[in-house]
Amino acid sequence: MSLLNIFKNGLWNEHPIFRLLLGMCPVLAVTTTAENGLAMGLATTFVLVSSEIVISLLRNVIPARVRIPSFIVVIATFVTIVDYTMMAFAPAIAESLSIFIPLIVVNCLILGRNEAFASRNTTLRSIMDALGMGVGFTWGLVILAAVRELLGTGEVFGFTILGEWFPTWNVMVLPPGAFISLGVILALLNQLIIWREQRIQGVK
Amino acid sequence: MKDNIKMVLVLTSIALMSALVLTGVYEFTAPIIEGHAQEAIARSISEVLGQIEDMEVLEIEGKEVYKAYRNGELVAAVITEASGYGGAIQVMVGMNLEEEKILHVNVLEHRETPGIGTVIEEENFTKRFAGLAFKDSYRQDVDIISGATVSTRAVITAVERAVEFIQKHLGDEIQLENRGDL
Repeated sequence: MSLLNIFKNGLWNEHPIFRLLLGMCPVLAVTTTAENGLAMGLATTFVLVSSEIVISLLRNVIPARVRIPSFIVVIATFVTIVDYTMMAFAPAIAESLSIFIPLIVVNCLILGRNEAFASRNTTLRSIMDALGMGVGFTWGLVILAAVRELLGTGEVFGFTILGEWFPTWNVMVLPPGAFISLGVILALLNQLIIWREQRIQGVK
Repeated sequence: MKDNIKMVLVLTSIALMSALVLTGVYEFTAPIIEGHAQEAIARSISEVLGQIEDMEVLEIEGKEVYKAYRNGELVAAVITEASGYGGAIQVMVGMNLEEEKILHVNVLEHRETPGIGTVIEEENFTKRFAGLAFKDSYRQDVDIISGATVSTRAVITAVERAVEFIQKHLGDEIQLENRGDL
């Protein structure tokens, strides 16, 4: 697979949220506003890229039997760096994401990509994989969060989109709203894929 | 055997490297983070007490009490907490000790339900405390907000605790000062 294809893989074919359904904890929990979604996506991308670089460099050094603890230590290190840095330089965002930043450690997307990709591929390929997955994760979070923020408060990124006439659906920014929006978005995307496949078959 | 030693060595070196990097990051960011916390407290003090002079920070029973003068009158602020719907709610209460009245209440930290319990932050709720006397019964005099009973009641409890705390520990000080005036 070429480098560009590795990158594009995470954007759609193996999209972490909509196709692999990985990392559901932050996906459901922090997508209350588009800004939170974007911040969580960028933080996760940083951790993903840095840990895949380190793991791919160390892939021939780390013995197979201790690979999982080694991966976790590396991932936890980068997560802690992100946590402190955000608290120091972006305190408002750090406060609204609160516990979910430290919880990036247990995001199975990150351990999953390190185990499945970085531990078996060169550093350059791992960086492309991490960027693809990270960008994919980020756009997924932003879309989901924007839908919830729009229906729940009438705003997106803090800008009013729907005026006074719109009866805001408060439930969308509460936990049930996360499940409802994710479910509806997944159903729509799956239907789109089915239609596309039918069209391709029809052409043949 | 050789494999086992390699396992130990590799994992230990990774952990050591991680500790080193994190120590560096912590040393660098800790003072900045501490600065933000101090700023937040200072901002809140000026919100609950207004224009003040000669502020003193007292340590009483592990709590910080901010004592100062406003227009020559003794005022004080303290942070207390009570459990709300989603965990502890932290409230800073500013009081005028000479008139024995609440000046202003500020909700600092909470994890209440967005859109429901978050009304406790709003001026519309916090202003209900302003001007109440220490001897008033806040449970009766402050209306709770329907739909957010637990959250609003928790703030009331926290305010009660703050008033009790200040009366218990600073009550003598006011009497002493008043006697000095006579």
